[in-house]
Amino acid sequence: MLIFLISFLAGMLGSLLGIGGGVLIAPSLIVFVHLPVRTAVGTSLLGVTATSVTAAGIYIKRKMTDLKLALILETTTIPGAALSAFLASRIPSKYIGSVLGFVLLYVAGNMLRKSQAVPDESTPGSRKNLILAALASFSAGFLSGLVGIGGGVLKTPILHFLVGLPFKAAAATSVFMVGLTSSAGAVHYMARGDVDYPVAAVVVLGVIGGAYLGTRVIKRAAPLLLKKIFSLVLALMALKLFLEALK
Amino acid sequence: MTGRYLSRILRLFILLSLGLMIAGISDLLLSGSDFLIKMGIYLLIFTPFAGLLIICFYSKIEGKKWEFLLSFLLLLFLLFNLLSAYFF
Repeated sequence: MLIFLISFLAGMLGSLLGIGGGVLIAPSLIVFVHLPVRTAVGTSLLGVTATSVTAAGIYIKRKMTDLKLALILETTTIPGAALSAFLASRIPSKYIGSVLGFVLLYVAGNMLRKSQAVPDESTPGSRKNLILAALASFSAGFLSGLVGIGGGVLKTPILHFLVGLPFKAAAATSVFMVGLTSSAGAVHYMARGDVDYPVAAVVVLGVIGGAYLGTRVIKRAAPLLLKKIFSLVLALMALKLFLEALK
Repeated sequence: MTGRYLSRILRLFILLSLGLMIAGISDLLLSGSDFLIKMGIYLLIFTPFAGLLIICFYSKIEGKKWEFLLSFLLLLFLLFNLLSAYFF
């Protein structure tokens, strides 16, 4: 029941902010269900995929998702992730983790500082800095693969700040992209048998409910409030990376 | 058109997956078999792949060259990823 509730919350946050929600699910599975780390990560990736697919289906129907942009940026994210998988053993990931922690803190601060200058939320914004965004997506894929965090925490800020999408459109586009990446990762865990199927069923049921509620809430939620919640999530993620670097 | 059909496919697949998962939990409690849960999970994992297939197909019909090319590239990646996970 506890895992169902945590998954529900993760699904809701995931669909509201354009992140997967794995940051909540995986640690909960380790602490409360005592799953081994690999199995917890594999099972949580299935939850992230379910969040993403549920939310993406609704956001695309509402025309909040910029599909072309998602395809362009996802095409650059994947080579970054593939390169990090290749170089993972040669680069000290904990130092990279602390650098990424500073980047996340900077983004969180920027998100709060610039939150008053909200563009029109009803339509996707202009596509400025597309090449810069593609490079940032490549780096996001590389860094997220290296330190083992989901791409959503980086994709939403890239779409919002670099491309100029309104926050809700950025979250909707990011959640679609996260689904592609997480399903690609989950396949590897399933092939190795690192998934607990009964637990995964409970997680998936929870996140689908939460993601559906999230898509309802986002219609009424103020972008400023969403940005504050997102900044808090980024700050917590940065703290986690700093603590891991200190170990 | 692409967005409309993509949204429909995603919602249909997630609904089917949800149904299989609920039936699977009941089956697991009654007979101890996790077959239906596994089917639901496989369907869930296949959903982004199906979404890309839809984008690829309808962007080709609508003559959206870049969307077709990018979705085709991503489809190839997912296919390669699937093969590498199970066979390499």
